[in-house]
Amino acid sequence: MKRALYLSICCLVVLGIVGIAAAIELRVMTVWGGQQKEYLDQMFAEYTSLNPEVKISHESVAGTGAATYIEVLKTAAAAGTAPDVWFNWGGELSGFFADAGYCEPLDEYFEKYGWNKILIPWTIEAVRRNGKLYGVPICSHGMTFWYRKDLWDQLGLTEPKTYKELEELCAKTKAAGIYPLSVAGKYGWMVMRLLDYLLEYTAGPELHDKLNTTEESWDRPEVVEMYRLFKKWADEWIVPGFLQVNPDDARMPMYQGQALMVFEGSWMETVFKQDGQDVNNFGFFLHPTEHEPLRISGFPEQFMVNAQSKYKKEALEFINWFIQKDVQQKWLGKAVTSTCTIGVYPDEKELPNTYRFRQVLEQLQDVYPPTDQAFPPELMHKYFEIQDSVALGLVTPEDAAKRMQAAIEEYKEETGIKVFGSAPGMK
Amino acid sequence: MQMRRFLSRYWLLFPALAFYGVFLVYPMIFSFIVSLYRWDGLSPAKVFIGLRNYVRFFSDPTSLLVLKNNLTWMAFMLSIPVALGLILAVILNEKIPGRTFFRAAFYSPTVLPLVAVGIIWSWIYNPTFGAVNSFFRIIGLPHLARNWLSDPGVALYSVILTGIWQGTGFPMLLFLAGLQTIPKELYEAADIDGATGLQKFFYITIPSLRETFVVVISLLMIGSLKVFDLIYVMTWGGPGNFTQVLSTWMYFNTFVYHKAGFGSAIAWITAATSLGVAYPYIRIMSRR
Repeated sequence: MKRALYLSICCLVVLGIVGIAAAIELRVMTVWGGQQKEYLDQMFAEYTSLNPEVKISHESVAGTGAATYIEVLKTAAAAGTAPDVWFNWGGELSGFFADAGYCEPLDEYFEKYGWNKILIPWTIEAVRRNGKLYGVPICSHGMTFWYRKDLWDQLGLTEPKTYKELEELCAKTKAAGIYPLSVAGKYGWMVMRLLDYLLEYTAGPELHDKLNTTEESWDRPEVVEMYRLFKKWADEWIVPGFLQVNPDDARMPMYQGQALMVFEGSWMETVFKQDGQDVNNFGFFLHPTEHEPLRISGFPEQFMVNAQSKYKKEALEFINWFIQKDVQQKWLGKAVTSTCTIGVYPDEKELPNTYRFRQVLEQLQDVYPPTDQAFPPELMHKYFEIQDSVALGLVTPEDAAKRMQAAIEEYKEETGIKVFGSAPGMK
Repeated sequence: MQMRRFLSRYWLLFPALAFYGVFLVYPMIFSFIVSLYRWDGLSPAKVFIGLRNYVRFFSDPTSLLVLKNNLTWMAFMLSIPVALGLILAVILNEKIPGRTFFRAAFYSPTVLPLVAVGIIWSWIYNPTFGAVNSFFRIIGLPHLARNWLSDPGVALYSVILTGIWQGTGFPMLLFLAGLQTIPKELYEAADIDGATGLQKFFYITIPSLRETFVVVISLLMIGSLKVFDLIYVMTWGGPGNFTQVLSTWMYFNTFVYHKAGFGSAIAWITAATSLGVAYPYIRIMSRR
């Protein structure tokens, strides 16, 4: 009896030691679902097969984009149950977590792992906040005009090199009974992309950056001109009723031949394919800004490391493996739809536009961020309110610029913030 | 012995009380405390500001518009679904062909998830390919086509219409149940006295349904102040903030703008408004 008890205790001790030496569970949260999540699970299983002591637990909050993911992450962080590694967008969408002390600063690891050398440079700068790096960029995106080639050819259009040429293109398209652009105004951010482009055109790169950090006043002629041009687009060239359209429905008029273009991102060819469209019937052109260097709207997505994680070393090793060129190339188009790693391209025949866009993204010297990544959420909603009011004709462009500046000043007075921390102007 | 009986009663109540305390009372008290602070809901830093969040609500034009939107919603929901529900209940209380089918048909929107209802009606209202504008174009009245959810003048009323469509079945069901409790002898006596259908309706049916009215109207009042799903899905509070209501405004402030203190104050204002509106009505009707 005593021997049996003694053996049992020994077995338990051995099992305990084995348990301690067994795999640690590294929790990774992303916003990706559906088939992409299945591929990611396979990708993470591959990592575990190479590193048996680390098991990746993939938690997905899919289907909602930034609308709900951030709130889920925030609730988890407040409860002390945030994952070890989490996906996030850039700018003010993620800055809140860095400012609250939930993200591990990673500057030293960029040097240590050589991430500076393998990642597209502008993507690293785009995740810098108040001079520090709190995330590792993993996806890079750019946004511009995408068009239907058959309608384009039918109308005899050519790629515009100036804003005036773009206006002429729109006028010609409209005269043929087709709306030049289809966008979705619900949630505000898709229409914001057009305004961002117009502001890059009217203000130029340097002033645009300073407007994003609010170092310069928004009550100025360049901003008024932006709103004036936007009003023209809203009245003449965008499919009517766009303010209530859901972003997922924005491309429907283009598919139905009622609109020529959408303002979308480098991921769009994959979306066309999933929608059953012929990818060869679509193309894109970089919107003309008449400034050098040419910048487009661009943003990275990143992995951030929980400052309170017990497995920071394992988290960093995992991220380091994740962004390596051979890993990214193997999983591109499946587990990852985009990359920040230099030299990673999709199959040119299968996704010709994506291939070309990837070249553009690698060659870009700089980008301007979407304003919703430069401004905090509360100020963004004021921005959207003013944007909608201009489109509806409720405020003049001059009044809109004044209101935007007033909203910025009110926000800064309430929060004590002097400039915003994530826009490129803060380099 | 008496002590044991005393304790045994309260001991049986304890699990429910504990659940109530942990999941209802404690969060209520905590949210009131949070409403007295400026806090982002996440970082350790909290600044005590007393009742300033409440003062801010009543001096902020957007917050006052939000309150007005809820009261507008309430006015419509207290009139149309109640009237329609009662009329449908009276009709479907008669032995008419297909009665069971019609009862199910009119009640079925109530059991649909509100998010699904919102998405479906967003498509119905779509300015380009939605059923409403397409119908107007087909019948030769294209000038009636609107931007139903992006025109500030009609957006809230478009969502209210969806709410009426979804919310009429429940009052209908309650009135149907109430109609079963009215003694048939009252109607027979009225027939003998030569009362018309309308007279029976106003002098027998409606007074007999008084308690059902209390339940229906108080639930609709509270529901009107809590409306969230339809607004969030159909308009997201837009265009601008034209269709914001208390619940969505609370949500945006707490979870999107990181103003947990102000959001909590909105929650307490909503609760106080619900009590202030529903409680007097229930008291008055209960006394009669």
